[in-house]
Amino acid sequence: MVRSGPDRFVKRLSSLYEEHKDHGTVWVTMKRIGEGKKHPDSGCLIRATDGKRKISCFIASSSKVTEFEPQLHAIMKAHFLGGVKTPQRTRKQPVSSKKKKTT
Amino acid sequence: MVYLEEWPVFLSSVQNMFLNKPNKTRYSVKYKNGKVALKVTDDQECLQFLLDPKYDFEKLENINAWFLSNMSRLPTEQSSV
Repeated sequence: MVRSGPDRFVKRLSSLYEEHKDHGTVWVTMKRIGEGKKHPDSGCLIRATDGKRKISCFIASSSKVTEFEPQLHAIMKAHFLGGVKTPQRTRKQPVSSKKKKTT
Repeated sequence: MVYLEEWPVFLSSVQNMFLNKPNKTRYSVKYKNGKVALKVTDDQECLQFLLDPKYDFEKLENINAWFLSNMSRLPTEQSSV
């Protein structure tokens, strides 16, 4: 699993959504990590996966949440609301307008 | 696994689940074919809610904000609702 900072996580999440806009599934999971031997700081662990690639980032304080949250929502909004497929227009074949020469 | 149909019931249930077991509760957002499935579990109980982001994106924003804010805070600072 690739652990990255919030900015890089958002970029990678955006590319995950982009790759799977027509097919596949993307999961985003949030879990609280408490203080312990393995984790000196408590905070929110955010993970994303498409079933093959995994990315994650750790948000340790409320101040970072105020920076991260609008970025996350912007990505989700762009991909969830902007994924409407436009119907393909069929091109009409032009009518041949050859003029017949009359003598 | 249960799919709840009413948003206020789902929201209050998942908030209570997290406040009871903050280190066990996981919140996931699954996006597939234009639909979003929200799932919250504490490894004993699992609650799910389906929503259409075109019409209910504010609900998704609200629940994301609540979990992000509460999961990153210390236990004594967690807020309800």
